[in-house]
Amino acid sequence: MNRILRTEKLCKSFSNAGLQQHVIKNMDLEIFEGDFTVIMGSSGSGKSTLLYALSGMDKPSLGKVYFGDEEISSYNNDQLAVFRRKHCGFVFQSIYLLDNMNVFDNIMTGALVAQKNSPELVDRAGMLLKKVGISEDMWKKYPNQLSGGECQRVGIIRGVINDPKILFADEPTGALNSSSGRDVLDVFTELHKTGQSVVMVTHDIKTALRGSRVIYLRDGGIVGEHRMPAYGTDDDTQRRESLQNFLNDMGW
Amino acid sequence: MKILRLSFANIRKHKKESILFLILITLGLVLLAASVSSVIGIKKITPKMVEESGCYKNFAYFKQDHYSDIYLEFLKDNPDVESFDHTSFVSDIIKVKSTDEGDMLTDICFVPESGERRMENFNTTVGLDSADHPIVLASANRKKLDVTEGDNLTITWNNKEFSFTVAGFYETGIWNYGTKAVVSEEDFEYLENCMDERYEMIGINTAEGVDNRILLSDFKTFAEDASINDLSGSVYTYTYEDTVSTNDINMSLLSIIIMIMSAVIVTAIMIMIRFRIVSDIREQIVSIGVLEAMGYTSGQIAASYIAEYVLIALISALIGLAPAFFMTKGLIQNAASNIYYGGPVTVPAFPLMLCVLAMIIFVGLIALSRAIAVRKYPPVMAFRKGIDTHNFKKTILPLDKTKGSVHIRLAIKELFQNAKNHVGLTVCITTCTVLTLLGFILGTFFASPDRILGSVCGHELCDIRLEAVGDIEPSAFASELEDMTEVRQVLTPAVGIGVKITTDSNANTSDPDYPVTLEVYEDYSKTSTIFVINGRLPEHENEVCVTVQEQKKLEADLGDTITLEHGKIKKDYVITGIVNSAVNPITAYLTTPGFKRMDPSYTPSTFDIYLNDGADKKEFAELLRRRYGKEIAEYKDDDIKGEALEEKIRNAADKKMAEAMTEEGVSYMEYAIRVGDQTITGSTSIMKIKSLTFEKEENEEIANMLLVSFAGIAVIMMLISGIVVILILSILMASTIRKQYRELGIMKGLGYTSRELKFQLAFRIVPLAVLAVILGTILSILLMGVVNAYVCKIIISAFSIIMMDLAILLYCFICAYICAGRIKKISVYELISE
Repeated sequence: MNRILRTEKLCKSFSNAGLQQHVIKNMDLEIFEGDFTVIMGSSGSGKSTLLYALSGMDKPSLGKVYFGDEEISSYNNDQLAVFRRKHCGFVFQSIYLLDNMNVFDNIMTGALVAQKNSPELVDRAGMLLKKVGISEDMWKKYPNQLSGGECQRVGIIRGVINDPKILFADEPTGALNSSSGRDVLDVFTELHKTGQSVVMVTHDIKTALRGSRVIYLRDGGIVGEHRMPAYGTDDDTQRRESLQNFLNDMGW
Repeated sequence: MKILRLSFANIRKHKKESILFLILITLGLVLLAASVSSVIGIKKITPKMVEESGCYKNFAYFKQDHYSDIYLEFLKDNPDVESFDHTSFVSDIIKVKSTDEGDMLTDICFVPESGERRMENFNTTVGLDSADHPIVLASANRKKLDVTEGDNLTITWNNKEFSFTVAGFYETGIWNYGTKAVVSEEDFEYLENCMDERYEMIGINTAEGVDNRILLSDFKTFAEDASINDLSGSVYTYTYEDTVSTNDINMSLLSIIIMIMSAVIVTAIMIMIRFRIVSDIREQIVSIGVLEAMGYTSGQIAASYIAEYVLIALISALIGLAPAFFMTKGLIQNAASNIYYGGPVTVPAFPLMLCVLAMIIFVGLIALSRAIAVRKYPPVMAFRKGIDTHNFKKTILPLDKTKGSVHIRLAIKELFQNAKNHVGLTVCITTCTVLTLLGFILGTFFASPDRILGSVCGHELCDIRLEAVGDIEPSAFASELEDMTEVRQVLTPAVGIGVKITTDSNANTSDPDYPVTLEVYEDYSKTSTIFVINGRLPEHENEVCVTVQEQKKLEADLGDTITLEHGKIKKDYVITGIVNSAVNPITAYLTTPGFKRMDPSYTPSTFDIYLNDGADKKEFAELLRRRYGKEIAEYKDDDIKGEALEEKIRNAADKKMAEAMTEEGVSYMEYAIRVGDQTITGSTSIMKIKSLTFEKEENEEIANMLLVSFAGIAVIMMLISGIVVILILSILMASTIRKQYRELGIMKGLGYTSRELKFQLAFRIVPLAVLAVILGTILSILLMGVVNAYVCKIIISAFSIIMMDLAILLYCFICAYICAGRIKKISVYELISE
């Protein structure tokens, strides 16, 4: 498997009222192409901080982050923005659709920053929306006219419209009911099956079950890593048990 | 206290925006308070000047050769007249020798000591009876001529030098203002004999309730009836009311311009406060919900917003009061110096305080008009962020149709979605564009003294004006002059001839005969500084042009017939054109044949000489003297001297002939004097020049004064506009970024760089700025039309206006781009981890 992301002695600390809080400590991590990497851990373990450091949303305090052979941790904010538009897609827990734009414009806002408009791009956006169950009559609707699940599916399409090398997701089902959450996870699974690399933060076992590799964090460090068995039967009991055992070992 | 705490919290939270508001309100407050109170203060200067100097209030000036003591009979025993007196004076543009900066031309009015003591208090203890020709100057001359007590003052008139010792200075009254110079009786007598412009001035104080205008009009009629001469153009009357109003208008000009600027800033303050409160409410809507849930009433929350701006306005008042005071004082002092008043000026404190108070109340009311919107949000709606995020509008500029830059498309899309919010910004930029363009037009057009003179004169300016004497044939003499290599053209005008205008509409008014001076030219196509704003210049003998001011006064229009009266002869003329003339508003324009209808014996004796580029005026004047003899006054004033007897005789004969020509109106003389075997002969054929004046040069002082004033006004206008634009854009950008913090953060997360987002934000104002600049340009052109019509002809190329418009657009964009810089501070991580 090709390594797509790598960290070297990654540290991230925050200063609050003169007190330094070390959230990530000397972390060495590799993310591989085609993997569906799930980052788990208890609250405050540094999951989201790690995700945003890996994706170039935030800069590490110390250490390095490499995308391929490129060290992105030395980039300035604008360089990181260009890196994100070229190589990354994002799905947020709070979805963060632009309220003043309709569904299609929300997707095109993400697309047009990275590439020029073309009939193929518009076709691709339409195709992806249909694929996730957003019918054409909803394309001109505004976010406040959609359900949470529909919004998140639009959010995912916005994340993958540029065919990113890696899709980052921060608790994408956190704000959804179970039915909508399942629909959204199905989209992630489908994307992964097409070869999309995904890095997802979650504390939900059902969500983690969709991954191919699980990394467990505690106190800013990796304390365990588990590679999930391949998909098998529909209920995937083997995967569930395997993950359950791993998490039990981690003290979940 | 609870409310104030909320207000302080808001100010602390948005320190930079609060500081920007503080600057904007302080600037507006200082300019408003200073301009309003200075206008009020300026109104007191003329009455104060009259009171302190003890001078008369109403005046009638007569050219001395048209004056007679008989006229005073009208004033004696007249129940409407409280007191009156009169004095002689001589006045002209005179060359003053200065030790530092070479010679300067200035307007000086010489008055005898006894005359000035009759006309006003003449507050000086200096004696004028010493042998070294003492002179007491109006105090304004201390700075203007750069002289002090004991200095030697040498003046030159018609190549003749007069030396005086500066004995002191005094504060003058309103007759001839700061141009006055008081000399001893002997010196005055001498000057009176030498100089041409001799006048008699009558000062009149009237009883209370008397209509000065009617009284002076009656006095003029009495004098005209009593005189054996035609007094047209030889008598001028000034009522106290006209003097005060003219002075007030002239002195308040700068204050009024500043008042207009303050109005622009006040508009900007109004728009920005309203815009920011809306942004604040949107941004803090959840906090508002929380506060309401905690028991704060919507009135209290609204009051906290109002208190925030009132607090800022109060701080502005504290900061701005002292600058406003000093600016008011400066404006009043500057205005006072325009009429040469050097006494102490007082700043009207009450209007100043009232303006400051009005500004605070205004800010509070504007804040109230918007803050009241808080009432629309009960807690639950506030928690749900109102319905602002609920968009049901039609999609404008869908992104799937994007061609070219997505950033421009997003900028325009956002602009259209919030078009209503941008009306205020458009108004602000429009007004700033008007100020900037007017400043630019004034500044660039009046950068040249020649252009100023050409524009405001309404009078043809030549390089050298030659007044001829004796028996000359005008067209032959003009051709002779034109044949000289230095000369470009020669015109033969008649100037300064007094006529009276009558129309049907003003025949029954209190001022039925409107006196004007004439400008007469054979061919107006050769003139270059007489501008017609409507119609055309006269071409035929029955045609006349009048100034805009006359047109208004006569209530006449193109095609109307007016009657001109000169030397008891009345003729009708058709108005063919309206001329603009700020400096000479009482002028009418006729062709030479047109004037000959009233004065068939008229022969031109004035020759306006226009030199080729590069020709030296002084050298050419010397050449004229060598060819046509020196000015006739010089022959007259020359002492009879010479080495040989023949020379002495010739000088004596020339002196006699010059006296006969100037005093008796003799046009030609010859002499033959036999001395022993020798006969000495001569004639007046060598005396062709009565006077030589440098028209442009003499007006240069006025031009330079105007140049400095226009340049100052232009710079102030452009500077204030620039400051206002940058302040409003700073506030606008700061508020927009706060309001769209979430959207901008999301876009950053999607990969939009800070630079691209800054461009988007800045580009949003470009269509508004284009619209505003177009509107501003149209308004400026309309305003310039008014200036062209009433003040002076301003010609400015369309290209330079377009370039200035582009510069304004670029400036707005750059300011907006720089002000959007705080977008950098938006952290995607912070947004996501909120």
